[in-house]
Amino acid sequence: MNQEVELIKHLKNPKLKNQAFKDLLDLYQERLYWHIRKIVITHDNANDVLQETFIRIFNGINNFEEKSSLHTWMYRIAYNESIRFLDKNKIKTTVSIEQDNNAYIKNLTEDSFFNGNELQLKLNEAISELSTKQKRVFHMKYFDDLSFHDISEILNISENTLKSSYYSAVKTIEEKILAQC
Amino acid sequence: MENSNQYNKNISRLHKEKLGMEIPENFFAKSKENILNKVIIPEKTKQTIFWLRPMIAYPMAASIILAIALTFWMQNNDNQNTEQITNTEQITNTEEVKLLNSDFNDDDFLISSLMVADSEMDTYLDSYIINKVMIEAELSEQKLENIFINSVLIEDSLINNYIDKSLIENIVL
Repeated sequence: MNQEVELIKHLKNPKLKNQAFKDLLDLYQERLYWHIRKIVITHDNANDVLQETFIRIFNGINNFEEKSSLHTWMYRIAYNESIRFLDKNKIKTTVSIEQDNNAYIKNLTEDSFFNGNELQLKLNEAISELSTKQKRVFHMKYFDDLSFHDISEILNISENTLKSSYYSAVKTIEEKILAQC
Repeated sequence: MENSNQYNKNISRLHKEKLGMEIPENFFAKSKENILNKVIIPEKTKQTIFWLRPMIAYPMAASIILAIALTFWMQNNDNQNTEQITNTEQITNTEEVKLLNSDFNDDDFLISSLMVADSEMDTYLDSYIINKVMIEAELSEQKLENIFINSVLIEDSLINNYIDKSLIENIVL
């Protein structure tokens, strides 16, 4: 937490901003990449969105009011950028990977940087069948290791609703995998 | 920082093991470089061709500006004088003024001044004074010459009286 406070101070100082931004990239680039990758699915798209996200962070850091933690603010930017990307892509293809399970799996398997085995593919399929909200919550809690409090701030949903969605998602996934085995 | 690195490694491993998602080799290092290239403008090294200490440069610059300003000011000043002279000539050459100047005396001057526009009054006054002084100077010069020429013709015994009388008349008049 203290590290974050120090980082924010440096990011808002024009003389220290560049070095602080490099430190920020070292700390959060990898986490934000995986957060984005699970939403946009393919590596190339995730790379594009990641770059846009950090450009927005760099340009918008002076407007960060510190009402939430820095990492929550960055995850929200990454999430919004990913959704914006999907909306843009939806206009082009008229197919949403969020709503169409087949499109989700098709995008995943056609990506040259997907190397999943049968079990991994089954998990992906089970996740793809969740509702959009359950999918988001499950990803953020299970894979990104975020607290319910942080997820609540990022998605602007109450913690109780999130907990309910998460446990429901876990149960659904377990049932689907067990049914396939 | 070490904790953070470990955390990042764990997250990457989890995604690879559970979801089968891969990334290119050295992806994060290259991505970091790309992002930095996009957001951080490289500081250009200043290439100074000619450099002077501020202690010398500022007074030098001020002197140059002052010299240029003085040049312009003096040019403008000359132009104004030329213009004034031209105006004076224009007025003195007009038919009205020529008529008025044909027989100069104080009464004529006052009468003729009534016929000059207010805006041209200063110029007219200047021309009057210049003419008056020039004519008077010319006349007095001629008179002095006459005195000396006449003195040659007058007898030596009377010369002192004549010179005194003529000089007094010339100076008083």
